[in-house]
Amino acid sequence: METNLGEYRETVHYNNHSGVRAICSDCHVPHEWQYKMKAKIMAVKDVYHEVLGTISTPEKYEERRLEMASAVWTKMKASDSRECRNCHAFEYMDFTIQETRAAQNHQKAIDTGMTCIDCHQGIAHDLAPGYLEEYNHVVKKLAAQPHQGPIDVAGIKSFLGTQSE
Amino acid sequence: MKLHVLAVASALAATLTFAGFVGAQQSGGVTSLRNAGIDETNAIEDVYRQDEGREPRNYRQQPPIVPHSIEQYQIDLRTNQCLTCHDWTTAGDRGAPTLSMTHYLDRQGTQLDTVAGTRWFCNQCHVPQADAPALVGNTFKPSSN
Repeated sequence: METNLGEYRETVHYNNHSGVRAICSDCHVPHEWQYKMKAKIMAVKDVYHEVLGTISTPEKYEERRLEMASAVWTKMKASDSRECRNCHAFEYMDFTIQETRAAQNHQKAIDTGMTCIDCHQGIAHDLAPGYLEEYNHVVKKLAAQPHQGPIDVAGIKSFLGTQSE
Repeated sequence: MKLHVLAVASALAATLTFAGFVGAQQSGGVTSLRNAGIDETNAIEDVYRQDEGREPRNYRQQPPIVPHSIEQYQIDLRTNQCLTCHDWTTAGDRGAPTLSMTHYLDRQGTQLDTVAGTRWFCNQCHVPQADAPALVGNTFKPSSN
């Protein structure tokens, strides 16, 4: 956990012009109770491997960097970058004071339903070789999964033959 | 007796060596990298902001300068983040200029699918544009304007 902490300390989420800091948990622990509990249970795996020394040397860390990043990207893509959006919301952004290319791409992101992590990989930690291919792979894998959107009430009603409210 | 002499000699040697160090430090005029005394406040260098909009080239083969901030872009042995938008595989989607095709030629002139190792470190030639004084002097003149 020291390697990724060190990398984060070089980035804008640690040190920036406005003096607002996002700490590890701001990005990695959800606010909502059910998601938070799930994250805490999943974190047992991290503690286990930390104790086991799975990533205890720089070489071991680099070997697993892409795999670990991929797991976090999957989580973020699946949750529509929920933890990012606790601070960064499109509704609160003033595109006119953003850099031109940032404003254009954020507009495109709204129009096409993209999520933060689609572009902003590696903002707090270093990226492994082949990261873009791996990210595209994550997106494909998630798209292939059955849709887990809101419950299709109309579909259920029509299946049961009860059209009336 | 022999041991006693040895102890005295070594103590003397140590004292003389230490005295020598002190003397060298006082006469050598050691300057710190900080260029200021420990009790002085260092002046920080001016910060020059990124210029937006594309600057025209000053001569035919000038590497174009970067019209956006490249703060915290990772360019190292593992990853080159510029290529996320500027590689030929992604430039179309991202609406970014593609690298010059010369950047896909290796030293022998072989066409490669990925950027040549010799061209990996973008900011050796392409720098973000800012209206800042030159860091070093330069007498370069283009052959034609």
